[in-house]
Amino acid sequence: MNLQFLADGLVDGAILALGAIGVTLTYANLRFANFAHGEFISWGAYLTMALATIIGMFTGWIPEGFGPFSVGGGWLLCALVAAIGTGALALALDALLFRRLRARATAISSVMASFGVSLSLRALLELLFTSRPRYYSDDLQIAVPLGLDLRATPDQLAVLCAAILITVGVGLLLSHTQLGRKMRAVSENPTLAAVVGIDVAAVIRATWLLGAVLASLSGVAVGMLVQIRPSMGSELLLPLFAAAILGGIGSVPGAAIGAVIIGVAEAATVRFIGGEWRAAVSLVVLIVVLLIRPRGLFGSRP
Amino acid sequence: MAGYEPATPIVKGVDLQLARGEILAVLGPNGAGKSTLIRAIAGLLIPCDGSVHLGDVDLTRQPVHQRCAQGLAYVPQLENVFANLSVEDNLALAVDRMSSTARRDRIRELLSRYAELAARTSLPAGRLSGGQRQTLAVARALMARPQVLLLDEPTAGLSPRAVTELTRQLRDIATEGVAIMLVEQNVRAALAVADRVLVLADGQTRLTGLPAELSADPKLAAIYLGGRTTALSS
Amino acid sequence: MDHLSGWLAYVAQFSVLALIHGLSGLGLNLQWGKTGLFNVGIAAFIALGAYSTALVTTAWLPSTLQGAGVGIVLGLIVAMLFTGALSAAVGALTLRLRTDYLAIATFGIAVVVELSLRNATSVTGGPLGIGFIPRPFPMLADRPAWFACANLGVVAGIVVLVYVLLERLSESPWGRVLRAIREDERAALSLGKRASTYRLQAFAVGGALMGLGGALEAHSIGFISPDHYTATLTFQIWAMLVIGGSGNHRGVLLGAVIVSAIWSGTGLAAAAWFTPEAQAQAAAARIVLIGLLLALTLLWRPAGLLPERSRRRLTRETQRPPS
Repeated sequence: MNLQFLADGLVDGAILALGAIGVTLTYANLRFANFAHGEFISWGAYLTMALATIIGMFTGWIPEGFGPFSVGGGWLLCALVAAIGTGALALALDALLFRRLRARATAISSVMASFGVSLSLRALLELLFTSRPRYYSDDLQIAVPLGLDLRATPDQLAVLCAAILITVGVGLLLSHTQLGRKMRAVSENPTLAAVVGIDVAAVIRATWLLGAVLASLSGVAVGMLVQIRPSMGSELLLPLFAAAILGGIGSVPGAAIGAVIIGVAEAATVRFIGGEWRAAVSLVVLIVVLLIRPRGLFGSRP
Repeated sequence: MAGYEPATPIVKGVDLQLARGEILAVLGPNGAGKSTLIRAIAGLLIPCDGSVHLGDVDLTRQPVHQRCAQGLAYVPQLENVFANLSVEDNLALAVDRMSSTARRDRIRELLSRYAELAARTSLPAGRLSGGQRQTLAVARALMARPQVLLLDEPTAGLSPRAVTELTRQLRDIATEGVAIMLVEQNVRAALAVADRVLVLADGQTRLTGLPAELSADPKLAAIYLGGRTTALSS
Repeated sequence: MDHLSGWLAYVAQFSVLALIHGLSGLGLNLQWGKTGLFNVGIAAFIALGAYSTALVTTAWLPSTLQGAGVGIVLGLIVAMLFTGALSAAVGALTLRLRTDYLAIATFGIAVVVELSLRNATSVTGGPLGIGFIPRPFPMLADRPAWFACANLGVVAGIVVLVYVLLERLSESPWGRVLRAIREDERAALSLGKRASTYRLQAFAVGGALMGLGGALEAHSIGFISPDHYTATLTFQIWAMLVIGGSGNHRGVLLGAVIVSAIWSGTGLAAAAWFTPEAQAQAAAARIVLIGLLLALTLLWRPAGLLPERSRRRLTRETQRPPS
């Protein structure tokens, strides 16, 4: 049997992992499901593209691929700057809207506001860029054989490696740095965290930033491997939530593993049932998790 | 020296002062306002009226997380450690403006006093016994070398042996010059460890004095059994 | 005369749609305004109501009953039962879990429902939807103004009926318990398991009302397609609640009229000012506009235009925890 869907699923899982880690951290620390997370993905992809275009307009620099990859150093630099820009967007949203909602009512208003924000941000992208699909590069990529009858393009391999590195990096951040400890503390018990001397508001801002940066990078990955459209991020929202809940809210390795499981499940669905039913996989996984083990694989007991 | 004089609907008119190295126990029946009092000093509640001072510094308007830096450490009654974090991480959290080597040294220093914690540094705090968790909470509070230590019912749920151990720890800490204020339901344990006692009922101070005097005072029992006593004028 | 009747038909049609959305809003009000449960998949429940009545009246009923008033009534009932049952199922699964799991689950349902409507072509007609849905008053089919007014009468009557029933429900013991649960979480805990039963009931009835709204819309317009039931629709219903005032039935209806008016108004403006190629972007601009309006309302008038009359608090004070 052709196992190509496993390879495809792994790559999809890698993209999802970056977003899912952000979702699990923000959900745990901010204590609400942020529906605008998908838009950080889209905005990251578009900002990268816009940056490259603007730089090109002023300097005549044409972003090029590097070796077998369709993106090179220039692109990566744009991606990093765009990630910071997306982070700034997240912080602005927190300062202008979410922080005031937090101070006032229950967490439920935050979810509703995030849903509205997500629609508006997506509409803004459509307004600015139209919904025509775009690409970072027009070069076609040749898939290279990997053995076991599997093939992957150099871009896919690069994204896979990057996702692994970033996941490990974030995991180390959480377990070995003071900031990571504070984040874990705030996600468990924010009142106690304040008592212990932690500036909870600062940790929340750091969480927003980290989540948005990760989302932005995953947007660039999607842009590289698939295409760039205003709805690209919101289409990933359901799989991301499912992955984060499957892995256990607050657990970085959980989110990564959950993402891979969903990626492979989606790829299998595309292969054996039909591409149009791909999105249903996440709902099925979600329902199964909620029925059998709501705290997910590595989540703490509620 | 710390002074406090609030007048909230729960606590109405309590005025107390704490000296360096002194252990003050605040007693009183349920609903007297003891927890409210200590939480207000810690910064979790804002008094309608009154103030909290540490030395010359007015802490009244300072948010909770800044009081730590000012030298105030608070150990809540329930959920006073991070169950999902290791013992070492729990301790490391408590000191911030420190290089990681200095932090590690401080942790080692503290663990040398508490052997049972030193043997379990990488264990998640949720897996410790009740007594060990309490020890961890106190150790964590000491990490930043506080001037004042506030404890909300520290002996609650502990075995008698653990209670004795805890009171011994508190004695040691006070000897080092830290001022301790504890709210307690366990009258005997409190009288055994305190230098001075304050008894609250209905949010007001009813009795104050040395443990030896109070344990013989019939008014103490009366307060706990709900008898009417006059409030002390401050 | 023609001009007048054209204008009359337009206004009546607008009012019908506004009222129908208001009906869905009343359903959401029961779910969120009264019990604080956040439903992100409103459009899906509306869609399911519309599609179930469409299937009943165009395919499942014997042809003698199709088109007759009885058929439509049957369709409405089936729509309400189906969406009510689905709401109950979703609620049962998620109510006891983390706060936002309900939001995520309803979001998932919205995604999958839209997916299914587009792809299960044999049942749902796929992207083209279902047409020839029977409309009431077939004898008026060729007189649009008369039809629109008659339809408006029926829909308005139903909305009034629902409104009255909901008001009575609010004042009933059941409604009082719901309110207590919302206002005092501790009271809810002391009721224990039964608090979640009340929430579940409210959620189910709310879902049924959304289905009713969708079904009425299907019969008013005569055809339905997946394109109509998108996140934008969910967003609009939410906007009605936030702007008009949630927890409060009159506020919801007021919000329905306002948001429908803004939506139609901007729609006309978009058609007039933007070129055909830019229509998609014009639609996007309208969403950004409503989004801003919503954000501003959340920040400055979080209770909406018609805040709930604060009911006199019961004098029984809640006990503080000891010491």
